[in-house]
Amino acid sequence: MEIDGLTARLRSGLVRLAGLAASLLAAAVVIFVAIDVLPGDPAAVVLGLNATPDALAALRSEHGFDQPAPWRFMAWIGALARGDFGISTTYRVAVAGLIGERLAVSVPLACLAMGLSLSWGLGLALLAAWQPRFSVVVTAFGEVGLAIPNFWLGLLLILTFAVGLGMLPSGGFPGWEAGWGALRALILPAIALALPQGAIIARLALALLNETLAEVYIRTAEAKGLSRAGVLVRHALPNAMVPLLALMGLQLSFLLGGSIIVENVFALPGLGRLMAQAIAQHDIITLRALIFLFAATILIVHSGVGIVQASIDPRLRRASGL
Amino acid sequence: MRVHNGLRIIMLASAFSTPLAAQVPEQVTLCMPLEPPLLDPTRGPAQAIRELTYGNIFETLVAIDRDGRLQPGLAESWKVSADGLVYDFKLRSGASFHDGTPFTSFNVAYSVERAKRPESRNAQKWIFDPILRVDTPDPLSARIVLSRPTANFLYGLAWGDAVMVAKGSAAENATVPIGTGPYKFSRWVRGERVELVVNDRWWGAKPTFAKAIFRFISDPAVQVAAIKAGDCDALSNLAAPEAIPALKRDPRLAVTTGYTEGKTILAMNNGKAPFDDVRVRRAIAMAIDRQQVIEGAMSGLGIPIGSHFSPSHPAYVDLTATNAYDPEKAKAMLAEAGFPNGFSATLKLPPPAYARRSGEIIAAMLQQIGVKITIEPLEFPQWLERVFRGKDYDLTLIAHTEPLDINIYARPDYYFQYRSLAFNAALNDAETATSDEARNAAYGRAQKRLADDAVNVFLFLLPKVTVTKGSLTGMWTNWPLPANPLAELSWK
Repeated sequence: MEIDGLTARLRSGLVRLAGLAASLLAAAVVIFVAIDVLPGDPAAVVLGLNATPDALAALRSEHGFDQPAPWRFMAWIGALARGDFGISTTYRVAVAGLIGERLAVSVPLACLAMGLSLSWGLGLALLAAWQPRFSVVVTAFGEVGLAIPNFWLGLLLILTFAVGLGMLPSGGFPGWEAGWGALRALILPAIALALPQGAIIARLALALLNETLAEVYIRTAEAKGLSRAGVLVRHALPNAMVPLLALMGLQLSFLLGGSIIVENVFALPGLGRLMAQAIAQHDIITLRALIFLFAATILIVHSGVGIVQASIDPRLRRASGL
Repeated sequence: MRVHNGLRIIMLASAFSTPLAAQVPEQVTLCMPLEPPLLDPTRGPAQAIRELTYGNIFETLVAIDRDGRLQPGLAESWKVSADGLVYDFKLRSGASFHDGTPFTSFNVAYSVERAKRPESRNAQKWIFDPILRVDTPDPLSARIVLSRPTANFLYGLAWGDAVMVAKGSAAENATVPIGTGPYKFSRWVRGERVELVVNDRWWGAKPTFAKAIFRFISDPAVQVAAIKAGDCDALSNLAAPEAIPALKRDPRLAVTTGYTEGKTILAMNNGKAPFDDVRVRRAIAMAIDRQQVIEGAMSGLGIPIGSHFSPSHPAYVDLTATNAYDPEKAKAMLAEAGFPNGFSATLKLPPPAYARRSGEIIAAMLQQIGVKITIEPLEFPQWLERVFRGKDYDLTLIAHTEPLDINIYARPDYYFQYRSLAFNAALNDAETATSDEARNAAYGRAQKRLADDAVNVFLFLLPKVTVTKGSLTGMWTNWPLPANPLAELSWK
């Protein structure tokens, strides 16, 4: 029995991995084709209005743009497999290095925002589930959080804490060498990102908690003498975690790649701004590396969430044939 | 979106007025809208490269000062032969590159040779085209021999594209620039800032600031917030004229409005019907109220121009009265050309705000004479591909930011598709003239030709709006070429 379970689990793991690889390859094809058909010559953008034909041809051949498309695709996939993202046409440095620098801002920012949104989203939901008279607070927080556009919230925060009170910088990022200064630079953007995310978490979590609290076994638990708070933490919360994890997985992918607007408002050198720059400069090498990275992140986070959910909820393991 | 954008800028501009964050006496922070893609002005056309490096990291043999005049740079003095073919430069002794390499005439020869190579990415190869050879009689003398007299040769040598580089370091200048200037490259946080430190071995007077930071903030509302919060000591060019009144009311800030060399034009496809008919082009020009466009799109900033020439140049002729605003005459002219009921055309607009805003106003004005305009917004790469390279357009609106670029009208394959022997002759006279009077007169004829032929509708010079802390002095008001020389800055 034990051995069977193990091989079954191994087989399922391999199936998951193969599925992931196939999805990544499919994503790569779509990304390559979509970017390849975009009108515009990257060399013309780089070299400007007075470029000579010689210089244009030299730049195109340096980046391999003069090769046929299937060859370029194979070369790209081959390089990707080796972890080589190519050389940016705009910055003339390795794309991997550019992305690495940006990750040093985007990942801590995403984590900070995730932590903040989770703590106040879940905190508020638990409070309202424990004392239903607070549920109006969650509703209000949810409405406001979803209704305020985050660039506006960002400007409001800058106006209050940077221009008005002079407590925090208005934007920019001094680099991690600056230590505390770097962390200070991330506080306002993290709040601007976390407010709407927290509002979504609060609403979903409260709905899930209330649903569980209405179950018959909760009454049994209470009858056994468990306090309201105990019931919430021991029974309701774990049940709510499975759908919440799926939501957080989605939010994490969004926070990593989709925070272009907030990065712009706070002049932060993150992945979102790199993407915006790559689009404006028609830097197709950087652009396809970034889109591939975002697609890969979403796919990996998604399968990661699946695995964690399965470890929380035994029913999911059985459902997937284990 | 525009109104909305304007509102949030004004909301920020007129917000609280608390003391600015304490300034660091040894350090200055300049904020500019765009990040340079690389830091070598000889390898890319982006204006942001020059804004950051010109006169700071890199220097030229002759330099352009804040008033557009030529000044000694790495060359202390120079002599030009009577036939205008031989330039003898006496180089500054004691100048050296940031890595310790001494600056000599060999660097002059190398910099020219590098720019002239066929695969060179220099954006202004015309500067070097007339050069036959560079002689190096001794380390501090450089003799440049031209193949033909070239009136603007010295002027071209003062551009960022002609900065002096060293053989040992030139290849890496895009990312780790090594020049001779008063500031050395220190580090680049890509997407956010470039930091420079003072070069103690510079040949000139010791600059005030030991450290300088260039920060890149693209959103005008965020720029306004940053200067109000004291995070920037100066904004080199604020792209939101609507915020100026509120910023001017702030006693802690100083606002100046000047001009750049950015000649903003409504370009017409001279090679395509009906714009190949000079009567149609004149009618279009007469339908447009230049002052109204400047008021509406630029909050009144922007100097009107009547030809493809900057009023800052001594050869400038005021031609704003040629084909002056007169919608009735425009209609009559259109009827004469065979369009009594007007016609339809597209106006392709690149992304900058000045283009999108001016384009909307102009479309409405053309409607008045019966020309129905369809506006098509394009991203810049698509604009380059379709309009600039493919010449697939009727009308477009763009600023040509390079100084003294009237010679583009002599290129038969240029996107305007303008061909005029009379213009080419005038331009040739100007470029080969050996006296200033002859050159300026010929430039005058060339400007007049363009205005008479109504090649394009010449609108205005892009403004430069500089916002500084009241205590900072020395920023350039105008941009005869884009530059922010840090050595000229100090606290009052």
